[in-house]
Amino acid sequence: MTDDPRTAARERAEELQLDTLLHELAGVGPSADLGSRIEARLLVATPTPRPATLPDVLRRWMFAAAVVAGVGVVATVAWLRRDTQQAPAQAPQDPPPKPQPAPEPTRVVAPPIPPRKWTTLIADYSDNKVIEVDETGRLTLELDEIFGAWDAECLDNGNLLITEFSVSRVQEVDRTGKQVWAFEDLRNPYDADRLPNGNTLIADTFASRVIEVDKAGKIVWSYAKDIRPFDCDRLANGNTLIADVLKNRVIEVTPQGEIAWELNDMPNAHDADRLPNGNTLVTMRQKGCVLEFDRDGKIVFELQGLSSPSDADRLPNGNTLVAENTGVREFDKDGKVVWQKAMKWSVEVNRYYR
Amino acid sequence: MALKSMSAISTTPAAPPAAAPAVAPVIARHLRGLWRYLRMLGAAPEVADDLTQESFVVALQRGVLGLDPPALATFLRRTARFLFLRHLRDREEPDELADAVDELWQRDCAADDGDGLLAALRACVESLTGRARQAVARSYGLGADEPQRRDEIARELGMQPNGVKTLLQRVRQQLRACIERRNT
Repeated sequence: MTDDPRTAARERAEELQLDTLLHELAGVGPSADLGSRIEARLLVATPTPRPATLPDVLRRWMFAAAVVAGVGVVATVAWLRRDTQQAPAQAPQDPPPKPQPAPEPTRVVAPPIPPRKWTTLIADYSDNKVIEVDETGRLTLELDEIFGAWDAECLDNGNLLITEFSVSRVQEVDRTGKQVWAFEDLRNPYDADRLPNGNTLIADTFASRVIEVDKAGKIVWSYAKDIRPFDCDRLANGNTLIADVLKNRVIEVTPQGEIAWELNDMPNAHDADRLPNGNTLVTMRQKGCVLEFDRDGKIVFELQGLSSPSDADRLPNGNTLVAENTGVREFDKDGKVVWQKAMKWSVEVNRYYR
Repeated sequence: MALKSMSAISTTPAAPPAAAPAVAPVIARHLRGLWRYLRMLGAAPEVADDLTQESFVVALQRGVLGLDPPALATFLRRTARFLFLRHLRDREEPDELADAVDELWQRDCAADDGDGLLAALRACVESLTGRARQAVARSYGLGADEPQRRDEIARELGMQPNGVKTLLQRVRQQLRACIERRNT
């Protein structure tokens, strides 16, 4: 080692160079899907206008100077000619010109706005915000200062139910951002759903429990047996589906707390949804995939090579909507991307039809 | 929480579903070299992924994706360096290290994005024998195995952990000398 900072930096750079290449020999390289991710990202990024260069600026100034000089010369000549050709003082003057009517403003007809078919609500954890876009990708709502936005749902009354991981809060806000309900006795929750009875089901992740709270904030049901829940859903049969990252499983528990169904070997399952056909759609963040399992645990559909997905929903048209690290993508049954919206780090997405 | 006024919201046009054909070859041409450069600056693999992507976005926004390959490669590296140093923020003297990495890159990797250096290193590793070969293979996970910790390597090679540390330092010096010989 040396005390000379330049030499030390050089030695460290050589170490890093060797390490990089040795790791590459061991198979550490860019993610397999990085090229396609960049392509997708570039497609939704907008080039910014090029700033004017110095020659551009000079040209503009020279043009402006020429115009000013030209106007000056014309005005001077006109003034001199007026002096020499001025009529006698008694001569009748021309009547003042009639004011001309102002020209009709050019009528700009805005292109017709296509009817709204649906909106998509997205929680962006990195940007601390929740946005809503329509089917053209146009923003229709943006709520910022959502601290660690990990879940956002649109309720029947039009309000939003938002889970804020960083400040351990679930709150209902109206579309102006005004809070109308909140529950804060939580430890870094990941997910919350409003139930048909008006209660709220919450994955209170780092308190290792799933709880149901009523409007008054009273806990009316809970499940807390060896779990770290990242997602929870109340099923039509009254059971609760839980994605549990503590034991790498998806479990369905009865109101009495019995496990009625279980899917094991599900590392880092961030989301689990029971589909109308009885199958279960599981999002596995670390493995970069979304898998659909039948009741026997057999994979019947899969999306692989995703970028750290956190949430996936099956849409009524059979497509699958996925929230990934770099944005939201909708895949058809063949895995082809049919819609996408670039985000910094989208962690939850929900589609609402109008 | 605050609701932004609708007039203040920037709108994003709908993304076309298919990739523009002209972008893919540009990405393919520069992706690995840029990623490797970021790794040599000290970026973890996933950070290198993210910053590679962001560098391409900046290039698109500046309208320079159509530059000739060497000029675009330089632009991408400068952008990646800026993004990585901003990412680090609190590391001491990151500029000196980045300057040294740039100097090494110009010397060893500028012509072929470091592919020649990688090939040289592969040959150098293959020329290692005995414990030296085993130690470096186990430490970096060369071959099918996962990388092992120093104490695990020590146990398997019947050495003290400090002995493995010394052995690895010596092997790295050998490899450095070997690739410099082969790459010149």
